[in-house]
Amino acid sequence: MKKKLIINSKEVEIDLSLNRDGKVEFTFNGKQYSFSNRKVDSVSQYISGDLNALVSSFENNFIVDGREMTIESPLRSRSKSNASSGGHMQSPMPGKILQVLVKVGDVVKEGDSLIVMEAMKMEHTIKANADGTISAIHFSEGQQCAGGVDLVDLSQEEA
Amino acid sequence: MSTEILNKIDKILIANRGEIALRVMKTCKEMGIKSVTIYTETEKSYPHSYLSDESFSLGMGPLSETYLNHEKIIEIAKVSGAKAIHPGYGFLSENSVFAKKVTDAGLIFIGPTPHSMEIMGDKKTSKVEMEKIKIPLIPGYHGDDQSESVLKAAAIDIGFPVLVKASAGGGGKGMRIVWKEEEFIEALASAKREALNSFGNDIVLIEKFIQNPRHIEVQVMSDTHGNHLHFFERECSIQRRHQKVVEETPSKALDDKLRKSICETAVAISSGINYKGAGTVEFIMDADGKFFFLEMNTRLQVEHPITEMVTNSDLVRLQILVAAGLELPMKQQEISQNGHAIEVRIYSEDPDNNFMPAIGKIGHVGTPTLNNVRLDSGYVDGNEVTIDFDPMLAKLICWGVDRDSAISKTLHSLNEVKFLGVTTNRDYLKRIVNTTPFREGDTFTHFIDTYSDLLKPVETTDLEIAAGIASFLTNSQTEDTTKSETVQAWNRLQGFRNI
Repeated sequence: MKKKLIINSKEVEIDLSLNRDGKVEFTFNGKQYSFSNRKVDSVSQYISGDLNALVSSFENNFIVDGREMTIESPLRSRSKSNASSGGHMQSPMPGKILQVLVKVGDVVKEGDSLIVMEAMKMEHTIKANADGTISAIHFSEGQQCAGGVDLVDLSQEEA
Repeated sequence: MSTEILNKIDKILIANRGEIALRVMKTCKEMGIKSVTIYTETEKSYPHSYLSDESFSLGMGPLSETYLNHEKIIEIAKVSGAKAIHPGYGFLSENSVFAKKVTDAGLIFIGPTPHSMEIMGDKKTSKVEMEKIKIPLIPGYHGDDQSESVLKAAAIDIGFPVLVKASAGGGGKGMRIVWKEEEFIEALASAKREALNSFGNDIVLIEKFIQNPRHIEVQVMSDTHGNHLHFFERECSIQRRHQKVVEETPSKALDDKLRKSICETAVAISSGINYKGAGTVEFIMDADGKFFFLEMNTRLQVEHPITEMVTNSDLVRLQILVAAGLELPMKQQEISQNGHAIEVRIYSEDPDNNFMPAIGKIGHVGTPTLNNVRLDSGYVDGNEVTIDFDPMLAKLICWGVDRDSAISKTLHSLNEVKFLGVTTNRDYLKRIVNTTPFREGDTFTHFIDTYSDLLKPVETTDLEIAAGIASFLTNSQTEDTTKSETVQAWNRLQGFRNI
């Protein structure tokens, strides 16, 4: 049975052939895997077979022998892309806008400082992620902003 | 001795939160002293709010109305019948005005005198004072004239790179390295702004920036009977954003002669200003073993546990003893370093994305299982990590018979202390202590920038991901079949036989 999963924010497909009585068999990235597992406490399972490891999980966070990853089903996915994509500079987390260094119409280069914000008592400088012209600024100095919202929009000229 | 202490101090208000409140509470419990804690309305699920003998709500609002509210805290101390206030670190720990108000209210402040705090609390005043007793200082400008042009001229005079530092600062806030003259004005403005926000004061000083320096500090402890002791050094060179992340003692960079010299200099300072209680003298040391006075922290330090592990002492206990007016129960020659201890600070942050602070719910903290490993954490399973407070979740302290053993224990214990549910620097800390330069003791304050290539995340293997998938699939299968749990349980017995 083909099944889609989102692992570390990337969609992957596995082919699941067995998942019963603590035994799991599936194909992932062209390779067949077979594991047995048993629950050891409220957050951990002992996985044995192709790899013997303690796996702990909480919600979509998994730790395999100390290595962290996120695994979730596409239907229940709670992660959204929070990386600022070209043209939109987003707040990394909730905070306060301290300084707006540009105005609409300014021509900026990738890496130029646009906004200084304070979050968790530290200053963070929001920089341009591409060359372009400032097309919109969504916050002014002193305002509080949520995490993952657009702060500044950039229009990129067609070369 | 304990009756002598209890006659003076039988109840302590801990004017702090998180791991340090719990740390102070532990010693109180060990000494039979009652502890009183304070918390804000959003912190009712955090252990510092319910593990003490009594706790009081500070209500809600900005820090100035809660953990920094002098009057409210002193009022709570009086209402609860506490005899003394322990400020922990941060917050009011180095606030001489608060210390004075505490004493004026007839309570004991567990810390130095307001006078010592004033001398050392301001980086400028402290340096003037140090010059008087001939303690080596870094070339710099510590003047009152704070105009942009004067500061810039001073920077040029000292020679780039320079460090712009908030005079009232600490923890890397209000601090900027300036490499070139052209960058000076912007960096100055930013440092001043951050200083004003964090400390309510934007006076800065400028110093020669020493490249590849080590951060070495000495733990001192003085009583009111003229005994000024040291508990040896700590090396805290591994820093990110000027904040310490890995600390260890003893330092690999000191030989016996240098160790003696730096520790004696620290004691010359504590005795020179007639200090009282626990303090830390911070030095910066260059590659030739030349060291300069940086500042003195007039409080318990975040990284104090490594000193406790290696010298087999309880620094909070000694603080309380001194505050009760007793004599320190040991002589300098009775204090020695045994084995090696490393502390790593676990932060809720993403080291692979510019150390961006992270928030979330802690599903599972985890417990270290090796001997002589200590986890000082302010969080328990189910606690939310919010943006309201410092992103430090916990300190993991590992003691080993030697440095290699302490490193092995740190690597192992970081796997056990999971903080599942929140993005942390746990894996990053493992990468740091596992690098060849760290293992060889090649540590300096730009370690993280210099060796960034060695600190890149190691790609998770397909096999590791597959093990994660196996766990995920079993979890989701369990979820889907919870209704037929009983049937399942019987099915699982199929493999067993009575023999």
